[in-house]
Amino acid sequence: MKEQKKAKLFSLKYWFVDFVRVTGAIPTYLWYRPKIVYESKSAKKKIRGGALLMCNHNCFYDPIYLMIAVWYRRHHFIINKQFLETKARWFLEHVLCIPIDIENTGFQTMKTINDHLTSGEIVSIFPEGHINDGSGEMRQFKSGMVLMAMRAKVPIVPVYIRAHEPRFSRLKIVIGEAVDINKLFDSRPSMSDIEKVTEQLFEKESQLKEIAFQLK
Amino acid sequence: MLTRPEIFEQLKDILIFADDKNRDVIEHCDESTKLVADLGFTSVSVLYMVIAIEESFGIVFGDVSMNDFPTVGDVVSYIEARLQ
Repeated sequence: MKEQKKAKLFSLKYWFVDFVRVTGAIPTYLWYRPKIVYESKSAKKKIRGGALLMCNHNCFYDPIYLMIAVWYRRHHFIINKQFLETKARWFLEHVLCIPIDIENTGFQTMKTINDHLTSGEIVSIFPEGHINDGSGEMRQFKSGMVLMAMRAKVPIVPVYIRAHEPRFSRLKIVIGEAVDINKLFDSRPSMSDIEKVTEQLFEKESQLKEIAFQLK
Repeated sequence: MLTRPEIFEQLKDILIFADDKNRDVIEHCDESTKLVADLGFTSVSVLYMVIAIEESFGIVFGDVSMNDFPTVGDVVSYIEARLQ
């Protein structure tokens, strides 16, 4: 794994997203009063360098919740290309969203993701692919994130966000230990191996879910 | 310089890794075999295939997408063109 550098908190290159983060931070924290817990002591360590953040997907606000959870880093969110065909295009592009065509994956998009990860940035992904049905049950995870992390040689950090209900309750987030996918294989893994890892990550996320639902 | 049949054989090995549950079908496939319709490849298995091809053949895929490679032969042609 590459030596992990401390990321800059502010940068002129990212002036818009930093402006949004700074101005949005106070009202967001006051409204949600986030309760962030960690799976273990090592999960509490700040994320340095490139990492892929995976998170369950309950609602449209999940990217904001994820930014609250890992507030000290900028996030590149992988989003469905369809969102960029709306009036929100300019905004989404400037808050570092990476559009992906789910039906017809472009390899250039994968390269973009890989470049961000290898240059030490955080890419956040919702591996369920869509917002789940609201029952609290997660959809099956897609294996693409494992390929992305393997290729860029970065860890996957699992995050679980409990649905924000009732409305005035505190937001509850659980952050798990980083999983270094590359340590799991000595030689080229087959697609079945990658699917098994994806299932393990789903299990990991389910464990975080249990922790989240024990919080009061 | 690899010949087209050599590229095809190497590609078959990669396809087996990308879909090892479908080994028998892939071993008997030809260049007209369709990746999605015949082999049941998903966007993730195609992505796996691309990464493996880049590592094995030392080439880089350009701005192309999954739909640009309907058949195994299309992938072979792309690799062949990139190797030249």
